[in-house]
Amino acid sequence: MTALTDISDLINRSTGGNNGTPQNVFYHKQPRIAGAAAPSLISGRPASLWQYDGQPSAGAAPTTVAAPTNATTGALPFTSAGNGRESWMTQAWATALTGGTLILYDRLLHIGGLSGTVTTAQTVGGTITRNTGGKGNFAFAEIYTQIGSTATTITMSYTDQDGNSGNTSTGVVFGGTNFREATRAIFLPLAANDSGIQSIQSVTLAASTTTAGNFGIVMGRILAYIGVGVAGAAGWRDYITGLPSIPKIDDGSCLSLLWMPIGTTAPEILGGFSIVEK
Amino acid sequence: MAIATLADYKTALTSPREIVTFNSSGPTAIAGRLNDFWVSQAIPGTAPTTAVAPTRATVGAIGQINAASGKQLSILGGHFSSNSQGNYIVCDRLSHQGGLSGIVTTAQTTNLPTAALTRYTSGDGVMLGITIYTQIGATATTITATYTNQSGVGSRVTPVVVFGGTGFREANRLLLLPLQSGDSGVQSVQSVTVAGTTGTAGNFGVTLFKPLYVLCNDQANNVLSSAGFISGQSAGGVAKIEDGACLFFANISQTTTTSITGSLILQEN
Repeated sequence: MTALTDISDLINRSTGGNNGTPQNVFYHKQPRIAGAAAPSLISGRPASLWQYDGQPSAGAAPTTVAAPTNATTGALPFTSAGNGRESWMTQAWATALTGGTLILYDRLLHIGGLSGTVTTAQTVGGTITRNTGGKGNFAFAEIYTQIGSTATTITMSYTDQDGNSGNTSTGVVFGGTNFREATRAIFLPLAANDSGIQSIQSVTLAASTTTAGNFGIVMGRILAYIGVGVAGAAGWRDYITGLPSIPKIDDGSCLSLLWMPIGTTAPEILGGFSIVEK
Repeated sequence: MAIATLADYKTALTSPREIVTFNSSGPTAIAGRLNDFWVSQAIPGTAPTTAVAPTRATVGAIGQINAASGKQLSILGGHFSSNSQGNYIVCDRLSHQGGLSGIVTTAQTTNLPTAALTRYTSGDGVMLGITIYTQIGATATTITATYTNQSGVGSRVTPVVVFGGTGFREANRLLLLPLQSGDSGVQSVQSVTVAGTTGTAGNFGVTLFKPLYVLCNDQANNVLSSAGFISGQSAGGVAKIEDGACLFFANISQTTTTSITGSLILQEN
């Protein structure tokens, strides 16, 4: 890794000098899934925008385990750095029809086809190809088709950032009102003293939610938080002069979005980001 | 050629290629929804009647001068004031047409297909919007478009979005259409279909455009703000402007008002 030297270095590369190859990307997401209105949200509970229509087009509910990339349908446009260089995000921006916080993350691994009625361990598996050390990686259950109305809990068996396998996450509520609807992203907390995930072996429901539905598990790495205070507000992050410092974007990153809503309205989002290479 | 150093950047700010001014008393808005300033600004464009690919010389364009031969024009920043907080998005209007009806429920091809792109000709990253020029009806329905994607594949169909009814009918609304699975841009649009009548014909059209740069306005009451690559309140990096670009503003406001006045600092390198 070669660090960005100073403001002059950033200006030079952002105007195309020294193979900076600047990328200024804009995207939009509509609160619809395959043309149908997206489900309402719960204030303060995260929702996945993976299947939202927009530009680029929606991602599909995964089936078998996979490590998505920037070539996966649904990923925001991003071209990997060339010739051994690395990619750095200098700006991020978004606005929305409703207030909330947009979370830009690299979707490292996903699987679908899991059931809300199976109470034995359901295999996840797979291998991530970016941030393989695991530090900072997080996981959430992503609901594609509504599961059952009976609340239970979910845990995962995983390998932590130090390579220790067989760790079990703290159980969180799964199923029942507000924990069952399509697009819900239910974060899975780590065991004590862990700070990341290398792999997920399985997830287990403590009891049946009574409807199989379809849910999956996603592992990701958060890159940016973009706050949109109210409808129409300009949520902008300047990583050049602001904090935190400039995020590194790994080659092949599957840039994706989560939304932490203030209200119940599914968001319509227009956003963008800028990337430079060194 | 790039701007090599901070010192060169400062020089570019103080000796730009052009400081181009704008003054837009925008349409009545709905907080959080996108508006097209094309016909509502101080020096307005007109609702297109045919399919055309507008340029910087088209009435309604901000009208910057091109970069000198062999050089690249870009936006370094801007100064602006507005009566409402929100996002003022500088876009390149690539192709537009009008004369479509809110009561026709068969595929509409009037003034379609859209004129061929003359900038960003692959269509990658080009967005497909529906601009409403004269209010359509109060009955909400849905709309789709058939288009050619960024790879030249035709007969692509957009997923449906709401069209007509409050918030989706008023003049100057810019309704974004999502793309079919796997697509990332639009080269041209062949037809538009409204699923049911909205109750009033009005006048709307297809607008193909590319967002370039955002003035992020945190201040209402016409407080002066500054935006730039290393001073914040902007997005789009050091945005490139193609020769002949038809620059115009789209806007998402926090309130129902949308006026803005200011200037963009343009540099060539």
